[in-house]
Amino acid sequence: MEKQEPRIGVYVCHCGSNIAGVVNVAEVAESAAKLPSVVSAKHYAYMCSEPGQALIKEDIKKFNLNRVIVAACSPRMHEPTYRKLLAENDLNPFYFEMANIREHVSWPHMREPKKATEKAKSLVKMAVARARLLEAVSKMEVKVTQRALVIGGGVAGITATLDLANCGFEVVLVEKEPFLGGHLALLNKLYWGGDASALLASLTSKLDNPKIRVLKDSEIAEHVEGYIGNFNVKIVQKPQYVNENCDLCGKCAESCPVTVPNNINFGLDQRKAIYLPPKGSYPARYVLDKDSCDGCGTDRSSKRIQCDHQCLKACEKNAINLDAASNEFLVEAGTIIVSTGFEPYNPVEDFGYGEIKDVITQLTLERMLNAAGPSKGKVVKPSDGKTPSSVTFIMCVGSRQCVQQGAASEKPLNAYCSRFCCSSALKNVALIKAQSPKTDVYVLFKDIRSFGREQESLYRKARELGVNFIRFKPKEPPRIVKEETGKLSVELNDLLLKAKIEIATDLIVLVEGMVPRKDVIDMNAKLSITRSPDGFFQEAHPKMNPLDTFAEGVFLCGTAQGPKDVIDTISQASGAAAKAAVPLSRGRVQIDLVTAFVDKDLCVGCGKCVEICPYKALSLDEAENTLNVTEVKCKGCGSCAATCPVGAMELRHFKDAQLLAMVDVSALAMEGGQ
Amino acid sequence: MMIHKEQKSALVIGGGVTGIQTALDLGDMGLKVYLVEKEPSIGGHMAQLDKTFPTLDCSACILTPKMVDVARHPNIQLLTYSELENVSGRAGDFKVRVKRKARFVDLKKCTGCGECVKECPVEAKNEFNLGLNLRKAIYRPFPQAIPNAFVIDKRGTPQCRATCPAGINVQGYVALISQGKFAEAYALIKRFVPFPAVLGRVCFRPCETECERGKVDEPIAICALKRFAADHGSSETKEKTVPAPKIFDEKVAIIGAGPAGLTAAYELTQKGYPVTVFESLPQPGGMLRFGIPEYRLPRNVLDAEIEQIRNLGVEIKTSVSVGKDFSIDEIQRNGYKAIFVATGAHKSLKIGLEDEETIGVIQAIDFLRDANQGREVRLGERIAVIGGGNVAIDASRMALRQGAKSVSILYRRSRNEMPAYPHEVKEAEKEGVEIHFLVMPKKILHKNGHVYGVECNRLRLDKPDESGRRSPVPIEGSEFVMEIDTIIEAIGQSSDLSFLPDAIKITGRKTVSVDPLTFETTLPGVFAGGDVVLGPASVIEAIANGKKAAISIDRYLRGDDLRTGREQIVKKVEAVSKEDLEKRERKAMPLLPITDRVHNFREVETGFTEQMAIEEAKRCLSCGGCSECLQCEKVCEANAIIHEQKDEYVDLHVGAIVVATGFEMFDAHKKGEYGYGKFDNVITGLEFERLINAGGPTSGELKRPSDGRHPEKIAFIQCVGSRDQKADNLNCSRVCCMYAIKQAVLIKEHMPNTDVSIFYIDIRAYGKGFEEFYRRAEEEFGIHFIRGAVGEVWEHPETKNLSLRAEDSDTGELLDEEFDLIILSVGLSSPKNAPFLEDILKVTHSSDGYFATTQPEACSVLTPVEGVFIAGAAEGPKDIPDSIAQASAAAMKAAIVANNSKPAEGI
Repeated sequence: MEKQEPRIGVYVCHCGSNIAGVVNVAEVAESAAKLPSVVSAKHYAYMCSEPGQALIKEDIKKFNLNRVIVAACSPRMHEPTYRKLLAENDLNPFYFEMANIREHVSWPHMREPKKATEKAKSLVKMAVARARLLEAVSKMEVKVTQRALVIGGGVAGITATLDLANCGFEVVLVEKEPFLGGHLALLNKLYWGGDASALLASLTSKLDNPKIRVLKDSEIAEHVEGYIGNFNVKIVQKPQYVNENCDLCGKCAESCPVTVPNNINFGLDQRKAIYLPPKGSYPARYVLDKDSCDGCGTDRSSKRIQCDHQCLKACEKNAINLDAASNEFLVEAGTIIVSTGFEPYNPVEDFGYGEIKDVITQLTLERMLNAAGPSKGKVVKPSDGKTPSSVTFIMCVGSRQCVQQGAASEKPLNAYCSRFCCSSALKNVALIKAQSPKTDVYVLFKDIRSFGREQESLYRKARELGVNFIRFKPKEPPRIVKEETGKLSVELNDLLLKAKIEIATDLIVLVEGMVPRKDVIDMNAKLSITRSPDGFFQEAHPKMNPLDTFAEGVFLCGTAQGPKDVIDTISQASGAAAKAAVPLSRGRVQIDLVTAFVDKDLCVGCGKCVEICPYKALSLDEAENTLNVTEVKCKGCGSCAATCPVGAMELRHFKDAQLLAMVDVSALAMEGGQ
Repeated sequence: MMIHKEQKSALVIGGGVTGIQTALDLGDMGLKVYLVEKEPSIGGHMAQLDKTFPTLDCSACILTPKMVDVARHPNIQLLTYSELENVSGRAGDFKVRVKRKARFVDLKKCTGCGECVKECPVEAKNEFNLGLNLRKAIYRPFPQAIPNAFVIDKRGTPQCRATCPAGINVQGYVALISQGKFAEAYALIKRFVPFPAVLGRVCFRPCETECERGKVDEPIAICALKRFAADHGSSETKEKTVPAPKIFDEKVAIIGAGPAGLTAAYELTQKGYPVTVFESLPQPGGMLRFGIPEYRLPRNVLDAEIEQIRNLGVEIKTSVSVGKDFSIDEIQRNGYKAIFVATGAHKSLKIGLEDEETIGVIQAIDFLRDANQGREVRLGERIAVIGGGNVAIDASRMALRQGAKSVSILYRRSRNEMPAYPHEVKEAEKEGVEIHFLVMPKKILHKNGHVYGVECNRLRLDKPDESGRRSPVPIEGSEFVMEIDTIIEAIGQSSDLSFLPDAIKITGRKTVSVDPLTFETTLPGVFAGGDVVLGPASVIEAIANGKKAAISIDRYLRGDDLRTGREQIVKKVEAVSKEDLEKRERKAMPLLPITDRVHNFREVETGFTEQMAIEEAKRCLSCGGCSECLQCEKVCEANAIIHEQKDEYVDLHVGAIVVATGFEMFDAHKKGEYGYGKFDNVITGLEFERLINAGGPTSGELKRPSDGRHPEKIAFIQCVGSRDQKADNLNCSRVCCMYAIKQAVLIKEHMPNTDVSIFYIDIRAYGKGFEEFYRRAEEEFGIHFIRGAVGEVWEHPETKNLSLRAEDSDTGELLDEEFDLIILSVGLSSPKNAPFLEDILKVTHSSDGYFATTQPEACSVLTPVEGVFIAGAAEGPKDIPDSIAQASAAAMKAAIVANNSKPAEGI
């Protein structure tokens, strides 16, 4: 690389009045013009706008610039914008430097314009100091593996998988559970009237596609290796005891002697150890629950009934293999979609749940209302199986929780709204009223958030049906009272009556919200993606990039990103599929080599960096007593450079000299200025 | 990525954030994308927002990069200022016709420098700022617009221009006068006619009758302004007049140096022809000189304009009479390749009474001709002028100036039917002319061959005749005698056609028969216009004829078809907004006092002062938007202005279509109880966005519209036009709770001491980070949340403060509270163009007004039409991230369909 004398252009942005309202931008530009190597310094209303960029472009030509500095907002916002601009004008994009004089100056120092201007000048000075030492960073172009990996087989994962396959790409869909369908498989009706199982079936019926490989009972085994275009993912699949020969005859279940509480129906009824998953789920095949069945014929656990391979004997299709072993797959994928979904909030200890049988969650109610459910579609009191004459819904259970002063709760409180529950409850109250019009229904709420299209009419309809809506203040939640006679009632402060009221009720439905899955921490470590304060996965930008993550090539959709209903989940899933399809369509991606490099003369081969590297990008070359960097693996985190005791490791674009130059001029400014 | 022929393609309709995202995703997937946006820039509503909730990201800052990406994307072809015209075909194989509205600025050449804006004299409401301030007729919606090019707002031809026979760009020169650009105004008029100063004095101003301002108070004083431009803006131009270069050899002869002839000469000389004008009278000007009295048209004014025509290179030969000195045939033999006959109508018509030859009975035309030449005219003391036209008025006023003691006009109909210009009639009467209506001379009374009186009949008006005017019928026994000593007959003129060869056909009205479009006579190469064709008409019509004949003559000489493209259909301005217009009096033309007028020929109308002219010009409503004053063209160094640009049609072939046409804000006027539009300090949420925005009309300072004061107590009213049966929208608009909370927080950030209340039904903080933001707004910023629908808002007339009445539904208490400013959180409505899209895309809408999607499949981007997808707020209200997610979903679905389709054809 030929060394050029730096010729720097400095561009100070007004950002309308966001910056110029506080900082004297003309003064900043003037002072920048006097700095070494600066050949042009200007200010303009919106540097990011097309005329602003045209101004820089013109200067690059006119002054033969080889470094560009923009003093504006956070580089997170516009660094890519200007790097692209440089690239379009035949300059290496890494000859660009940004000084953040908005988030770091005009916003925090809104009421001190003079000092703010001085700070802006120093930041520009530091940027110039660094820019003089900037070096070109090369790119590596790599081929993209024409395959996507979708993690999570709920409605989001299935939708994304189908879209990608329809677009002509191979997809591997990984699901942890023994069947696909996620929570949609458990639901009854959807709020607009459709059947959840019918919707699911319409999607799963399309999964038999040569482009799609479904790995159920499977998990990502370890940290995902690789980078956009070339991820290597190790997947472990539990043994598959029932194969595709299963024709759903059901003889296996009939013969199975093991009965356990049915987890699909939240323990409201029993199932066998070999059982049929809910309607619409995938594949349509019996599932052997080895945890319940374990010991069949071997009597490892004395508690188990010996069954002597009853199912195996009963199966005429040779569909059962009790000796099946677990599998390991190494999947190469160009892009990854994370659609791992949510968990329902578990209201243990809230409102007597878990102690009082007739306090249930809304998801349990969904199973009750389901014709294929434990009570064949009838709403009943779990305590006695009778139809309740009064049902009370308590909204926002596990959502919009107020931080109670002094309360030492062990459970984390969820400040967020779970978004789907209002409409879901409104749908269910109408279903209850439809099957037993005489049942009194109460809905205790904070706000009714029926914001979606056509949802307001559900609210209206519920009121027309005579459902009683009673509002409580978030800080004054209702209280459940269980008398010794077994009678249940709900106590709350009625704001209108300015009095405590008591509602006698037979069944209490806790409308539980959504929480991040328990394995979310594990997943975000494996994929190097981040989480937002609410615990769900974090999107790259809450407004503009709701489907991207900060890990290039990894995309998000559905409730893994935050609570949402089926419709919004499906939208996001198709959207994430589009995002994942982009690198696959292009076939090649370019990767900036902002990577670590080693000065082999200095390296003593201590190997400390190898230990610290989270990406396994470093290896010790024992013969040479030095380090090797696998560039495609290096993510440029800089840990090695910080660790190296002899200063042999450095990171491109963040070299010591570049950073120290900034420190030097800022120190000088402080000495001279204050 | 190269665009090659095998490339699959898709169309995205709507360039808001949804359309932008869809286009980018499709483009990134390698499809050719056509992004159609009806506005001049992409960006949609998001570009109008200040900050976004709940992160308070600057809206423009996060949108602009995506807009720039669209502009630079090799796979995206941006069609702004364009609308869908037609769609046919099916999924994978749609044929789409897009109308590209004329932008009048070349997108490739415009550098966005903005010099044009400085020169543009026309202001219009700034739509981007919701009419809170003004923009010019040439504008860029906002600084970050993509494409970053200007656009000219043309709304059609204004009535004034459409009415003018010569098509003078009235709005243009009026606009220039309003800016004090008098020389430019004069130059603009001169582009249309050679006689601005003459017309500014004598035109019968049909434009003023049609002027839209007349529907508010009074029409603009257009004629007076034209005169002002000519009097005050002409000096430079006069000096500049240099001979036009001769380009062609074919000589043209023009017979008659009246307004028609001289105009034709002016036009043809400018085109590069050698032109000679033959005039029988000793001086050029025709009726302008020999018909119109000097007190209306001073001779130096006329001379100056004729001089300019001469300076241009027109040769005028006076005192040569065709028919007497030479014939048409001879002219042709002398090498003139084309002839324009414009000899006027200088022969008086007689009444047809007995003894019309008596001394004391004279013809108005002869009288005026003699008087105007300064010849001695013998008049008596008591004069009767017969007739009701302009000539009668001119003759009567001239007679007064010649020393007559009394002048009476005898007119056989009433004032309403009188063809003379009312302002002239008025002045004549003021000067002492007496008008006798419904009177007709029956007999000339004479003694010794000299008139001493006239016997008249009184008349009454009967049924309308062919002319549409009611015909006068004599009343029996109404005869009376007027004692006068001179009768001036002014009942009409005709043309002397005796010099014309037989080959030129004459009409029954004794005028030359011409093709009404080309003005060609029945003899090839000979054209005619002005009074000789029209009969006695007006100066402006004569000028118009001259212009049109000149076009024909040029075409004739160049061997081009005379007719092609000439039957222009003028697209008039459809509707002119007169909202919020204050009445402003029309400036009256200053006149010479009566006492200073009679017995002299001083000009009666003295003209506007500079201040009057500017003020009068500022009354113009700028009906046409752009006034076509052409100032922008002059300053545009990039030569990017194309005033004559036409709408174009583009045919596309695409595999899939995504509809992302967005929403419209609910019209807050419909909720009359909140007083929007009636009370100054009731504004909408979107207006607030512009008011708090640094690029907005107040540069980001929140000021009360009524007095510019910072409001100290502010209320937000939620659900305006949402969840409201009366407003015809049962749906929640999904964004208003959060945008109101965001706005409340912004107020608190800008002005921490402001008291802010939000009146709501339910707070719907449902999205990621929303509830947390809501909580901060209440706990950290101290914003009051009051659960209660507002019933009514009223204004305190003196302070312009507002009170509202609401019931706190938590407590049942009735609240009456006063505020400085009320912000209506208006909801979202389905876009008005939805039915149009329905027609051409066959996509239906559901009861909520939004496009129907196939909900049973729970995929909100699918429509019942295969290959047509929908995303963003066109599918129903939603916020930005939900719109963007849907946008990507629609891109996915569209890509699947397009990938299974035929290759695209380039445009």
